[in-house]
Amino acid sequence: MTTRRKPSKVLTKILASIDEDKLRRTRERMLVACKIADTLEVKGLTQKEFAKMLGKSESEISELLSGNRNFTFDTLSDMANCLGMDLFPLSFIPTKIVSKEEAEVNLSETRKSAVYDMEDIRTIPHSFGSWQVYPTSGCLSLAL
Amino acid sequence: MNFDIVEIAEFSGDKAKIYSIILEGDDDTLLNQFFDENQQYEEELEEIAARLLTMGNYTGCRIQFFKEHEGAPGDGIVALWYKRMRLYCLRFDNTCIFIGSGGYKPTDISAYQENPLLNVKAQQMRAIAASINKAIIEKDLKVLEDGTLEKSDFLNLEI
Repeated sequence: MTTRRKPSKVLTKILASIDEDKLRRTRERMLVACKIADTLEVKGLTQKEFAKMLGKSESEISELLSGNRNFTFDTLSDMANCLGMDLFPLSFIPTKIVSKEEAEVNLSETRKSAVYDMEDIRTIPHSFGSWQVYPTSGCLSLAL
Repeated sequence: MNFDIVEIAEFSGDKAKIYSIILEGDDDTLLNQFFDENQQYEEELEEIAARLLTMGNYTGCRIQFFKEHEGAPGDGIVALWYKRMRLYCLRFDNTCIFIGSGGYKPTDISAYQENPLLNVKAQQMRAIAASINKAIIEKDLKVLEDGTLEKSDFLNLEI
């Protein structure tokens, strides 16, 4: 009983074809589905009620919560909003409302002309007749 | 016909133990047979395998991942599905699942009973589930907290 058996050739091939990316996507899709299902349970909502709240069919919700279907960002956003949960915290992104005038001033300030020092640049003739530009210092070189 | 339960090490993990069935006289588990018989549906098989790996190691076999009511009322038969592919299982709880066989559900049918091949697979799983459920009720088979199985000396699984 419960003796381990080797997987068949087909199963071995299928397992080998599942790369890290595929596995990560499946895992994260299913974990998000778990989080949503847990929240539904806490709030005492059925999938049918949830579907109605989102204006979707019950079978669509069932597919999403089974991990079968890929969530679109909009669907996730709607679900999170509907359940009052934070599926993807965006608060770390610094945002600030600025007036149109303030934005224009900032933009013009960033577009000041600059003088470029060309002292370190010298040109040498290429053996085929064209010109190549090499910086004489720094770690980058242009090889055309 | 007697059968045995085999742990599928490739899918089992900390979150769930994944088992399949091997029928008396067969060399392969029903899970291996399922993959062999449906090898032309590569995308579906890949998705099902990736989900079994995830369930075993990360999420457990939560009921939301399955189609319910695929067998008799209360017998625990569920189907893991992707697109038109069906894999019939007996789900004990989040930590333990017994995988049977399944197949491709043609687009022109709505119930598995309409397809002879799929019906045979589903009926086979019902018989296996009845036997395992009986063994659990009679305490000849015990599912421990982490999904591992403990059998009594009197365990006799047959369909």
